Amino acid sequence: MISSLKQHRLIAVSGFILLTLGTIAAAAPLAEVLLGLDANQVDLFNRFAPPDSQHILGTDELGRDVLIRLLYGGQVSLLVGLIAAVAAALLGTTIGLIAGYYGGKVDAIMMRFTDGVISLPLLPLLIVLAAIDLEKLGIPEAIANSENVSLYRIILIVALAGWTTVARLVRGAALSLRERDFVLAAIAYGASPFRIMAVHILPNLLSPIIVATTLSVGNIILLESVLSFLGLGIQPPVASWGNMLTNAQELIWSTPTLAIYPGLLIFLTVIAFNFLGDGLQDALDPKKSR
Amino acid sequence: MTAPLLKVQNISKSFTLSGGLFSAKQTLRAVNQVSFTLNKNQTLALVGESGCGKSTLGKMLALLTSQSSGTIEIEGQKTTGNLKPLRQKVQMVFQDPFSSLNPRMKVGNIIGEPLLVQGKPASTEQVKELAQSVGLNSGDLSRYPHQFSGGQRQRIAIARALSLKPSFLIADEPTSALDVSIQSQILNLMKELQSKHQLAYLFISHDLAVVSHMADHIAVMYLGEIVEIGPKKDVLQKPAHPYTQSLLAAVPKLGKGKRQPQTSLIGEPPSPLAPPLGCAFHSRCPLAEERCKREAPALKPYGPDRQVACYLKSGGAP
Amino acid sequence: MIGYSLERLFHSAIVIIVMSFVIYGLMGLMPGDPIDLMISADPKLTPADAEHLRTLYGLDQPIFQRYINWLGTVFQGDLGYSRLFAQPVLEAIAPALFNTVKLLGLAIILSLLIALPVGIWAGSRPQTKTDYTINLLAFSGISIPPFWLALLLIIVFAVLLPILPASGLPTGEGGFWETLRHLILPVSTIVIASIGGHTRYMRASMIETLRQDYIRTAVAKGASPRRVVLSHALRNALIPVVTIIALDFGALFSGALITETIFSYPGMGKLIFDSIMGNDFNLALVALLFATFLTLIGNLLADLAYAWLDPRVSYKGRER
Ligand SMILES: Nc1ncnc2c1ncn2[C@@H]1O[C@H](COP(=O)(O)OP(=O)(O)OP(=O)(O)O)[C@@H](O)[C@H]1O
Ligand SMILES: [Mg+2]
Repeated sequence: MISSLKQHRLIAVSGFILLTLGTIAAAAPLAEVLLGLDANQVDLFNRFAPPDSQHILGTDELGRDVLIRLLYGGQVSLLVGLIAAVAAALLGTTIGLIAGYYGGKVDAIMMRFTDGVISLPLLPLLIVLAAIDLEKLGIPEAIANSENVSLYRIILIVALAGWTTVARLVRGAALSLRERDFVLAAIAYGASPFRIMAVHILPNLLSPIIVATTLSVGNIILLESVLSFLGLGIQPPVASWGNMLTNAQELIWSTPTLAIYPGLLIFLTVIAFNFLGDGLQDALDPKKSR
Repeated sequence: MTAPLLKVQNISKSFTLSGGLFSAKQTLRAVNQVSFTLNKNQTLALVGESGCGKSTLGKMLALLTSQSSGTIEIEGQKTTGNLKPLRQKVQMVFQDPFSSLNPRMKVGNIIGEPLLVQGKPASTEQVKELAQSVGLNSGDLSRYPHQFSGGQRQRIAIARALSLKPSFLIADEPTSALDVSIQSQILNLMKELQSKHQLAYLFISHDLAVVSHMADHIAVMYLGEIVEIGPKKDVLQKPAHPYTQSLLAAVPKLGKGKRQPQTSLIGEPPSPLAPPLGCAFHSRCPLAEERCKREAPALKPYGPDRQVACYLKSGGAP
Repeated sequence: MIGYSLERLFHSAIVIIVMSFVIYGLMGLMPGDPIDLMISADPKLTPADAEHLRTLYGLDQPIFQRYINWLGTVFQGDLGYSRLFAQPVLEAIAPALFNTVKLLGLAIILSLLIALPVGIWAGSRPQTKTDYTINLLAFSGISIPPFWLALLLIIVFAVLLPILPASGLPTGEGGFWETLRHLILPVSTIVIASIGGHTRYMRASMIETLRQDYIRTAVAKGASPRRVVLSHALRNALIPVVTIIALDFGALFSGALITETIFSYPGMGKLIFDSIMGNDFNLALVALLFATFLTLIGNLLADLAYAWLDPRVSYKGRER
């Protein structure tokens, strides 16, 4: 009883934090108007300004308003995290579903592959992926160098790293579901494997998928911020929490405060997603609800 | 004479318990050389201890798993090639009504899905009729399985199985998960539907009382083999195989008169991973002779319409 | 057991072969290529010379052929020459590897020394205040961005109260204590980043073990809870933790890359990062393969140790 109450409070609090963060980030243009500021407005006469009524968190090394950039950075980091998590979930669900439904050799091969990916030192490999020259893949120069490509690319890269959690959970659940008699019944009246997976197995997997996706959003946001921090993710002047820390690192001796806010926001977001996932896991796990 | 509805010849099923890439495999013989026929509007009950291969046999007949060897013919058609059209003739009702209905589907969709899958989507009217024929009302169709009791769920499962108008239904312990008070309702429903649609049943059960209520014929299985098969009355009242006798002896009400204390079963059946040489039952048989340990007796005729696999009954005595 | 070991060895070998090809292929997609670098270093080279060099180095051949050629040279013991370090690749890697082993070794030991007892403590009294607090702290550790954590540590201990150096290695010969002092911040970063995960594994495993029937039986027979935890549950709870932690080698290495880069600590992680960013393909290729290889070995050993320790695992048909 007590524990389930606590779980629900956990879900509510973390959900509230995330909604608030999302709303505030989405309100960035509004804040710009209200404060009479522009996110990318460079003001070299007003560098490293301390907080005041207009620049609530002060300005950075180019005289840009820190708060506004944090909000825009939040939009990017949250969006990239969510989209990549959904992409990762789609990939993981497909792989886990096929492995779990077919079982046997198919399962063995796919899960060996998943285990292989899990055991790799991912970050260095992702750095390589992020550093690849897209033109060498035959992508035209105009597209390869356009501003949004760094966005799509980072989404793709972190999704490639993030699907394994979902795949394993879905596979495990599918493996036990396919033994259920309603699946046998469907085979007996002639339903195709695709139909069985889509109509009979997938809808019964929604809760593990939701849990795994929520749990992986945190990791994915962390990964995105690391890559952006290393200069391989979101490229300036587009702000992201990760790349705001790149500049802050160089200024750490003179203006250490610049390094505080972006990291704090990443931390808050990630921990909220992790708590949300954990809470949902307990709430949706039929074994634990006594 | 018309061809039987179902003709099973020498079917066997082995499972390979795979080790890894570099370790040894084991073979489990779940069903061994089973043959029988079944006519329409008839019920063949399949009895035997747990693990003797009843469900495996049922699944092969429901085309849920392929036999390792042997042939199955349904209305004269071999079960090879594209099975989809053939599946309309054979349907199955499962033991656990809590696992046999998709919890995320409404009852109406559950009952209608077989027709949809077979390319002839059911009208609402059709689904309602089906529901009524098993004693559900039309309001139930928009509800989810978890809102029903076990007995009602089993009715839903039966309606689903009947939607394709099959000629043959396999029921794998359809009432063993239900309360005793509900069991007879479901059994009576099944009987009623049988005579209405001229259905043939393969009725798998542990419960000899239920079997005596439902069956026309009884097949007794032991370690993957049929050891005795014949009309219900003969098998229940004059069991021929020592194993059948032991099974009946364990049920006082049915084995009346012929109680033989020495035939009550002791011990566990041998492992299907390492079936014994000779007669599968010899290790537990009170009457086993030297010969039973060396050679396996074949199923031989024993009186009209009846077969037994025991040297003492058929091959042995002149 | 032998069959199982062979099988796992076989799988690891496949992964390493596949990965070597993948990494080799990716290297070819990096911006710039060796010939371009030569041209930019020597403006006298004409396009015709460049073509000639390309043929000379076999760069005009299909990727698979080049990979096979490269494998050939590797098996002759020639791993190539590092442009950045102006040294044979192996000579550049050896000291970096040693540094990383030192850093990660210290960090893992410290993390486990704290995490295991704490996890056991929390896991043996689930749903209490203590447990919730520990769980909260563990979650914070998991959720903190490691690079930000490194920056925070630098801000606090090197900038605000300058008592510790912000770089990972002393300049010149520092002596033992000086070396250790420089290691404090990098090691702390990795410890804080991994301790949360370790604690949670231990806690979860402990809770799971205490739920088992044989433990309940022991309690029902009147064994004291303390005795149950120490004598019955601990061994069984530790076994899965060993595997999970070893499976984390890859993640740990990622942590090392970030930490080493921020603290300018000359380990494998920084070397890989620098070689990728500095177009030193020979070095990047070999260093990446080395890192992958070591991680896989770690996983393999963990799996075998698990199979060996846990009597319940049948290595014949292990269900995962
Ligand atoms: N998919 C499978 N893989 C391996 N072995 C199996 C499989 N299915 C069944 N078996 C084995 O085949 C034998 C027969 O099983 P089956 O389920 O047919 O028995 P049963 O007579 O239906 O038993 P019960 O009365 O308990 O339902 C058992 O030893 C069982 O362990
Ligand atoms: Mg069964």
